[in-house]
Amino acid sequence: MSKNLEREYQALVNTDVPDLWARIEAGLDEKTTPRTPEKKIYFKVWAGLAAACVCAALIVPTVTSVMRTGSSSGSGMADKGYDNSRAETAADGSVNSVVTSDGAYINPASGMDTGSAGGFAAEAAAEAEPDHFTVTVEILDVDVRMNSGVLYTAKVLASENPNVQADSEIKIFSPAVASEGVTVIEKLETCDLMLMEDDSDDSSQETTYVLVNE
Amino acid sequence: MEEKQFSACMERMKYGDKDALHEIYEAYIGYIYSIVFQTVSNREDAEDVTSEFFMKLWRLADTYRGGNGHRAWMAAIARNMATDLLRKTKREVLTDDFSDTMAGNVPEESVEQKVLSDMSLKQALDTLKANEREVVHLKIMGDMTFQQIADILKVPLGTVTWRYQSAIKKLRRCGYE
Repeated sequence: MSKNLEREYQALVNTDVPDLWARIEAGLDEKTTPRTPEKKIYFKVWAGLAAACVCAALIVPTVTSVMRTGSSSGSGMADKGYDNSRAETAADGSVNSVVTSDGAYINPASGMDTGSAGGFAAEAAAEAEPDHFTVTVEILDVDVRMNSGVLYTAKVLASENPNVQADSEIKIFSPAVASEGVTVIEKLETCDLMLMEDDSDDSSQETTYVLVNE
Repeated sequence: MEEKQFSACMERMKYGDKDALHEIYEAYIGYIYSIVFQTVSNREDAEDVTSEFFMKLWRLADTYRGGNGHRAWMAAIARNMATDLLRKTKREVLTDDFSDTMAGNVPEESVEQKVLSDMSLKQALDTLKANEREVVHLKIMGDMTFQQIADILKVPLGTVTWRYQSAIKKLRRCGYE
């Protein structure tokens, strides 16, 4: 009869063993329980992810806004530049003078830049001859007469000349012609003009003033 | 206890988990105690060394690196601790240098004459020489290879296999296989 040596041997060994656990436990050194490496790793991983999310939340909107500003500024500048001044094209297509948004009439051919309306008025007043006066008018009608000039019908908004009252309509004749490079003032345009009375023999009932060009 | 389970217990012991040590204690107390007892041949000394072994295992958990053969590793530590105790007390016991021709506790002639089927395992083991019991114990309880046993006992491989075969022959005569 064979007996299982291994099984019985193991049983024999384990039954003849003293109980030493209490003695062993009493002699164990207390170990401090540090934070587990897994927790440290998890903490570092989550901290890294959180930092990445914060950086992305800060950088992405900034970059997006910078790109939008850069794309829109170019066209805006072009629009603003276009709005600030209008190059008036003469009848022959040449652009030599500009009517600004504040109504100043600029004739570069004469070599004088009148600048703003106020500046024009002040300068004109300083150099104006006694029969010259400045008016602020709104152009109501433009009648371009080729090779003879332009006849404007204008409403007076303000005038230095007591004979030319506000809210009255006057005729203004510009003897310069488009062929000379003078640009016509546009209809409904408001501007300050230096005028003088027309001394020519005119049988018409309306008083016509002449636009002074310097 | 499987290798992974043992490594997991050692890992828990790093952080002061005494229950992990208790699990190892329950699994291997008989194994370690027998190894130590076979070396010191004294119950009181065996209890002392076995207790110190598990206390040392508790400290070794801090630097333990898992691998293969935790049983052989523990057996080597326990046996060395028992041998160190013998050196301190200067007791004369059976060692690796002990001659294989030395007679055991019971003359072999009496084993042949006894009614072998009535022998208990303990009695059958008593017929073995101390160094043979040591090899049998490490082989059965430690589940080690002969090379591992040779490394622990610091004897040649051939000596280990010879002792084991001799022990098995005697036990087989007693009805144990």
